[in-house]
Amino acid sequence: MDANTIIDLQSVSRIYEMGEIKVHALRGVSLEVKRGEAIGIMGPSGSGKTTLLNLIGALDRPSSGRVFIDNVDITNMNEQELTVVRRDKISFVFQFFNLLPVLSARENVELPLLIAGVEEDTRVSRVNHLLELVGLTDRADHRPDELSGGEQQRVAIARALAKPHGSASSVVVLADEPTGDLDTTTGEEVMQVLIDLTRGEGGTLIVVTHDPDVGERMDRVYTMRDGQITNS
Amino acid sequence: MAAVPVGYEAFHSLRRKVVTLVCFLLASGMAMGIAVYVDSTSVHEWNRLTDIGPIAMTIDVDGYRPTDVASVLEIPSVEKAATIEARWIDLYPIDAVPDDYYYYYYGGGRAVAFDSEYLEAFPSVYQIVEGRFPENHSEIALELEIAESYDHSVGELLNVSTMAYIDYDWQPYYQVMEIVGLFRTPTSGLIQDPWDWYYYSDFGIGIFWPGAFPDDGDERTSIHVDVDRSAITPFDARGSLTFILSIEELIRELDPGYSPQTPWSRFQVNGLLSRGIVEFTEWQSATRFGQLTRAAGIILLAGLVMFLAIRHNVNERRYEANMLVSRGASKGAVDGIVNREIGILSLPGLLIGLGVGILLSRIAIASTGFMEFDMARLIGEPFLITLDSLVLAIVIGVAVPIGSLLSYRIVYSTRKPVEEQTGKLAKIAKGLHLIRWDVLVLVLTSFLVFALFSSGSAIQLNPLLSLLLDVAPLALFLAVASLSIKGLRRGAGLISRGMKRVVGHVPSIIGIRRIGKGASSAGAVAIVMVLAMSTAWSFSVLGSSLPPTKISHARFAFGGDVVFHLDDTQNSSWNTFLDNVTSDIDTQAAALVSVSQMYLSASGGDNVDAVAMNPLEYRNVGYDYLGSMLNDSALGNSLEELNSNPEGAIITQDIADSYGLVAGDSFRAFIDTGLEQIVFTFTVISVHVGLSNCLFLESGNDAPTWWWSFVQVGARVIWVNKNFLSAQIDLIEAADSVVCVRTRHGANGTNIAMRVLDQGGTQVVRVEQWNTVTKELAEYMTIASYRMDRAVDNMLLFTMVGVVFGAFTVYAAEGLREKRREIALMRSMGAGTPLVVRSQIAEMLVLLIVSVLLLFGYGPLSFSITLLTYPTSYYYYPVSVFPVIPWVSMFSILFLFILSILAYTVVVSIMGSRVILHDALNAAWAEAGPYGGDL
Repeated sequence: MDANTIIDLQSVSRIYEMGEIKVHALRGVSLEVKRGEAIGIMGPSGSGKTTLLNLIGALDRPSSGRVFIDNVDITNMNEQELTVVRRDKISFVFQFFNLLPVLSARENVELPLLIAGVEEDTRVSRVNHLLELVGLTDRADHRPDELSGGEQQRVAIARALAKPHGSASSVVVLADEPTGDLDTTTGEEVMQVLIDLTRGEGGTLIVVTHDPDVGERMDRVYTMRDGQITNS
Repeated sequence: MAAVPVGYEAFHSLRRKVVTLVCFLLASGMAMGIAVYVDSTSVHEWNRLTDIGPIAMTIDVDGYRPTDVASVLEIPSVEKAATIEARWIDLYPIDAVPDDYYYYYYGGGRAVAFDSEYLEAFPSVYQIVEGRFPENHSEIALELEIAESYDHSVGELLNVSTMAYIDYDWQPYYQVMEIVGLFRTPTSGLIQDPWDWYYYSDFGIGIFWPGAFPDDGDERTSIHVDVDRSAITPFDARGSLTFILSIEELIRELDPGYSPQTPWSRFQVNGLLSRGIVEFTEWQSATRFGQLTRAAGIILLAGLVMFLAIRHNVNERRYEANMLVSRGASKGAVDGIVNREIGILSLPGLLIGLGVGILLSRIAIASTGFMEFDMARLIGEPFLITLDSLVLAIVIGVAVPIGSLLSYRIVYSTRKPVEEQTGKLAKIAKGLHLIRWDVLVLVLTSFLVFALFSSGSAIQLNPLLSLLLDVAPLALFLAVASLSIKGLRRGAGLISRGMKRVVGHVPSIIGIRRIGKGASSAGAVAIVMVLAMSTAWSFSVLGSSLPPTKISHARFAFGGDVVFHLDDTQNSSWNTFLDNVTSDIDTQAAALVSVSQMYLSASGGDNVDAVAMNPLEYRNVGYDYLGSMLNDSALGNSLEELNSNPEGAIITQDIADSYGLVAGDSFRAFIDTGLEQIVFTFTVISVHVGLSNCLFLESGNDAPTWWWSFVQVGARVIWVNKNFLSAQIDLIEAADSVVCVRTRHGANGTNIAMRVLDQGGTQVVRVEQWNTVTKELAEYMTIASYRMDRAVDNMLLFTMVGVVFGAFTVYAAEGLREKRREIALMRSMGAGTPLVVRSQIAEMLVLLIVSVLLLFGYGPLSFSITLLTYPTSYYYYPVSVFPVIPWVSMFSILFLFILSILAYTVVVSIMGSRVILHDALNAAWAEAGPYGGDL
């Protein structure tokens, strides 16, 4: 396997069983993503985009096939091992932000570093840096319900990049419709922030989107239909 | 448009329904538990009250005809009937002259005569215990209680009088009769006061030979009847009563002139069995009502938990409801869906609650005291469920959820979002916000409670004060609860910072701050916990305080641990008796006091009890109103002074207040011997709140009722020097002589009494005129109401654990989707299971800590009020209760509560930390969105 490959999916399938009904969300998908790339995944609803993202992000397990993150096979890892993978290598940006309402913007960004056990001084400087990058230094102590949608998404982006220092090049940022809940102008701004910051930090970006404008900004775009990648 | 949330379970939520069901079964469980316990215990009461002997009813027949008995026997379910002649008699001494009769009356009542047919039908009604039945006109047998009351014995002659037509004149007829026997009847022992025999002795105070009195006199023929008792059952007391009353009515209808409109009948029925059943139903209803009233607070607590459960239901279905409204459904129709589901859920909750209640009732039935159980009683004690109990439990089990639902609708229908304007009204509203109603209530109620506490035992005498004291803590608690909720809401951040070092940074900022966000739920859970635990503490304190209170009260009422009232006709034997008492191995000291009535005003009013004593002797025997031995109290010094100043007097505060007396003042009192008035002048040595008059032979074990006036103990008493009084009057003639005894520590006073009485004391002591503190306490603790209160307290303690768990379950289930998302988010950031679980526990831990802190403030208030308002007796004492704080028991209760809640919290947290990550994170959620968030 190429050392520059950070994501490697090998014939991955995912079947959901709902009683007697089986839903083939993914059918033998193979995918390689290079370190530092910005990848777009597009397709109609129900094509398996989110499922693909969940498998890459270790939120779900494949029914068959193998998943490699930074050359490590995570397919059969236990929950504890997956926790480490998520902590060190994966970040998420969700359509609906998924910020914790009881925490301020600063605390939301700080949370992954707290979980990782980063020391306070390092944590504080990293958080301040990230907030400055997303332009929210003045709004750092506001809670999510006091922020606009765009501001909340920027906080989410900053949080996604809050990884233990020095590991940015191993970080994969997974964004599921990050601009889906934003107006066009705000969406463009947020998308720009996401791409610039991820690239700037040396991370890899995978974006699921319906928006062709977003797709155009990516290095590569994969189209999915009926659980398979139809073209790239 | 946002996607429909994946994983939304509104239409199939088993969890929501189970949580609601668990909460709904609380009220019916409690009501059923209490009702079934009362029913089961009532079997003993039923047996006691319906054990009226072989006669179910007696019939007084006016103008008896020989066919009357046969007519009665023809009535269905009548099994036996036989005639007995009866007439009213009065008993006088053999040597009394007519003018003396008023003064030498020995009592009277119904007397009977019967033949062999009667004895064949009812052989066990009249049982000879000494001697025989009369065999001629000049013989009579007396009922045992009457004989003992008036000191009659076999062989004695009496003048027996009855009214008769003599020489066409209605006048008394006297017949000298010899007492040839003493007998018992089914009502022997049930009538305490000899004067009541005149009215209540259905079976007669005497048996005479038929024809001993003139035929044209006051005789009546009675028919004694027994019925088929197989239909008489405690399961259906009302049905049993209807059955027996129908027989009585059929008997009355034997007189063709009788009708319900003109209710006089030749056949006057005295229903002994029906009377017993009526007394039973009244007792059962009063007891059920009384116990349910005692549990009302906890039933309301269950109602609060149901309120939370209903709110949880509504919140869980908000998205569904909004979707339906957006499709054109009316709000009423949508509310109806929720109401219907809640109504449907209340039915299985009710049924399961009934089953749980039956189990709870066995906890109560196995109780022998607070947190004391005898497992053998689980099997040995009867088990009974009556129709009335079932109906009552069902009504409560339905009413409380409906009440909670209505409360919810009312509370939340008045909540409308308002935008503050700038007009005059808005300014007024802003100003009103400054007045915090809860602070106002807290301050006012605190003052009120303090004032009520300061009024001392006057509370027991004043129903309004008592009611205020019952209600005040609730108002206080509501104010504290409101402030607590606000405190939690605003202080969650502060608490979070404070708890960082305890639970960790992440759990404190995520778990604890969630309390502030959901403060109305968190506050409600805290309220439930505090109320439950403070109620448990109240039960514990009550259980441990009542016995010492009874001991102190009895000692004060009796004037010692054991008391004997001496027969003044046996005064020659008093010294021997006293020697026997003082030489008993368990006696510490004894004293003979003389109690007479003195008058403080010339008009003869203002009477007081004057206790003449040897002060130094009595100091070693008596107790003061605070329960202390006299030689250890301030009264000890006063008694020393009384010894050195024979003309002194120790008086009670009420006398001092009436006459404006203080120590050093003089006052006069006189004794009226009937022949002359002897005046004494005393100097006040000291004034005390209360003094024992050594005259009481009971401490008042029955609880007060509204129609009984209180008997005041320790008031209007003066203690004087016996030497001073005896120099002027004969104390044996003019006073009641009482021996008071102090026992050795831990000794059983009743054993002393029995030994002394066996040594000839029965001759010296007036009949039944003795008592001991040991005996009084034992009787008190076997009183049905006392035992039942403790038993129900035990049952409610277990129920409260269920109530607390119900509240916690609702809280844990609330916002579960949000909690799962948070957990998933934490996991997606790399948080391990221990961190996730700690975050969940931190929230519950803070709730627990806040509740315990509130408990330490509210708990003492709660049990203080419980002690002050618990009706121990219809006797009014200077100190109504002697509190004993059972620290071990209280901390055990607290520890058990905390432990069980912590264990529950850990289990719920561990189970709740298992989340399907992609499901939880990908579910459409928007905290500020149009279809998210809880009310």
